[in-house]
Amino acid sequence: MKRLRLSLSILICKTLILIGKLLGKKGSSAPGKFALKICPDAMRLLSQNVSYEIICVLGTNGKTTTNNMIASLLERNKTRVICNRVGANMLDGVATAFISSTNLFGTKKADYAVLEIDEASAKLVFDHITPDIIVVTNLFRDQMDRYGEIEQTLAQLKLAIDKAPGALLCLNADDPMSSYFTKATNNRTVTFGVSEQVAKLLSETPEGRNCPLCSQPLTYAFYHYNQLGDYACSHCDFIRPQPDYYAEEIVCEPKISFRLNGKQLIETDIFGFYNIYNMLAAISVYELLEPNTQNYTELFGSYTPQTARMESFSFQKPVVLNLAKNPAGFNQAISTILSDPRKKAVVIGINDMPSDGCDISWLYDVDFEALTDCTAYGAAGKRCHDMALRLYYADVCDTPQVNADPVPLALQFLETDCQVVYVLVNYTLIFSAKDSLQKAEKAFQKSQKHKKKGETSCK
Amino acid sequence: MQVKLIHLFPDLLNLSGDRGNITVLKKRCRLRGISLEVVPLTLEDSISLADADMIYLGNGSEKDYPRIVTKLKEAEAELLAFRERGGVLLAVGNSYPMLGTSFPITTEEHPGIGLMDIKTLPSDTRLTGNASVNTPFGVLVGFENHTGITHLGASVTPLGTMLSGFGNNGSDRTEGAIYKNIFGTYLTGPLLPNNPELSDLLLEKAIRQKANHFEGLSPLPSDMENLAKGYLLNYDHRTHKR
Repeated sequence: MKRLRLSLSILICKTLILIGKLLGKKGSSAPGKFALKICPDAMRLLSQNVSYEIICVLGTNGKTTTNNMIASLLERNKTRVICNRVGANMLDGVATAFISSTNLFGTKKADYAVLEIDEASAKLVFDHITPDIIVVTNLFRDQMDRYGEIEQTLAQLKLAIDKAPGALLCLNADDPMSSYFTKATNNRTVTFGVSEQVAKLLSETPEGRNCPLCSQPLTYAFYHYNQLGDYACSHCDFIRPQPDYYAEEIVCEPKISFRLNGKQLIETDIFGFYNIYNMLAAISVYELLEPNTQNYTELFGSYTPQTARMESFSFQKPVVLNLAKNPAGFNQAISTILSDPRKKAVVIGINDMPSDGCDISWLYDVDFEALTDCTAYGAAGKRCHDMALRLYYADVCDTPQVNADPVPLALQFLETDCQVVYVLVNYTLIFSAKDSLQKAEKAFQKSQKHKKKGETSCK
Repeated sequence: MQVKLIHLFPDLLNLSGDRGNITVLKKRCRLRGISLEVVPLTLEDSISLADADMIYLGNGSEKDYPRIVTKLKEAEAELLAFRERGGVLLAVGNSYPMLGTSFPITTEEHPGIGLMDIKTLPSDTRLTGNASVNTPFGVLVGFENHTGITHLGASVTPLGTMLSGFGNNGSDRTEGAIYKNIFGTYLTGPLLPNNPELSDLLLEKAIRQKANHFEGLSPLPSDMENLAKGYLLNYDHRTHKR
């Protein structure tokens, strides 16, 4: 009977996925929702088909990147991996991922499951599946009106981890909010971190600068951004753990290279300091499964970033699209832009849909003040006027160009005296922005071809 | 012209882009040739209000309020003197109920700093979302996110009447409280960027309390602010759409 219900739920879920695809839908949580209604055990039953580890990636920023890095490392060995690659990371989305990778009878085997899980949903998801490895990338302030304060996020995650007492935790040693779980749980842990002071970054959002155990201020030997760094509590014995996997000799100009554990030099085509953490997280998981891997340069060489993480589109000059959805993400994106020596124009797009967070006060925690000397400034999204005002008060531009849609602004800015246009947008703007940039890119390429043809026929 | 603003505990009271409120006051002064000196204080500093014209208390985490109240109680006499001579204080978000006689910290009642006659009780519901308020000095907009239910005593005037959102208690349609030049409100967002009327009112009051014959602030353009405000005024709370 159970198997019958499972098959029925799989059939319906797969049909819905197909219909969704035909309608061009990007999200994938609704099919999983129906499946769980029909067969509440579906995920538990399907997770039994995973032969080796179930790996769950949690954290504020870098979840999708880390998750997909782990999956792509594993997939190179021809292993079969269940992965919610598009980032549908609440209960229903995880269910969809399991069902879309099984057969109609729910019997198809997989080697690993690699799943990114929303921090607030983890305690629900872990009622359905029991992870073997839990990665916590970092815990920053995000979408305050949904998660409440960061203390509540910690409490929620604690509830989740308590449901998986046998899981190994891979924690960010540099983040006191993540490494808190070395103290707050009895789980086995491994940690990763950046073990040297890197070039001075932007000023910080100080949330999370207090000890998660005793609330007294943390003191820092050095820090990288937000609360990430080498910290110790001024009051109790809480201190940054010595990381098991650590990066030194860091270069990001803007491509990243670093030395792992004093041995292997890893050179990548990946941009942005924050990606060192995502790579270290992926390495700390991969080393558990494939110890002493020597060729990370080659392994990361085949990793392609997912949608709109510093994704470049080709026009007469490049347009670079990036997702940023909270102060930590924005500050990192701004650092990356500033490390680019080219002349640039910027468009910032802010929506306030429920999945973005309706409270946009965090715009004032972002260091837009640092974004000086651009050839043009654009403000977009549903909150374009708030964003324009933010740029005005940041003293970088008195009259930003305003348009609800970021793409026309970006295309218009190609005409200014810049060499690259950066478009930073938050979550619900990202897919539409990518679509219209791709369309515009195709149209541009076509017009170039015609132009060339025209030129040759004239000769 | 010189104005001195004491920014209390910015390392703790910074949950809602609070430094934005300071940035706004600074820029609006600078554009008018007024110099605004901002003095940030931490819990370790001693509080001296002798030559202060303004005080700002931002939105903080509930868990930090016991320490903050203890610290402010130490400066009670100074704070009362500041209030009586017409000093301007703005407290937003979770710092607003702390101004009253008692307020809840994670459902437990806790004595406030007693700068105005308001009382706040705990509740099970979180009152959260965009809000707009009609006030004598213009329509204000912002974001509210609180569980406290605040009632005003007879000596206290509400900041205004709700056009949308919950306000002080979700029932009497009032928002915020004013007593002398002490201003409290649940509105964050941050509050001042979108509400230049309030920013300028606070600055004028801060200048007037020491320069009686001050002729008023020169006007600044507010087109951008009005457009931003328009979004929240036309916001549909049920559908999260305009």
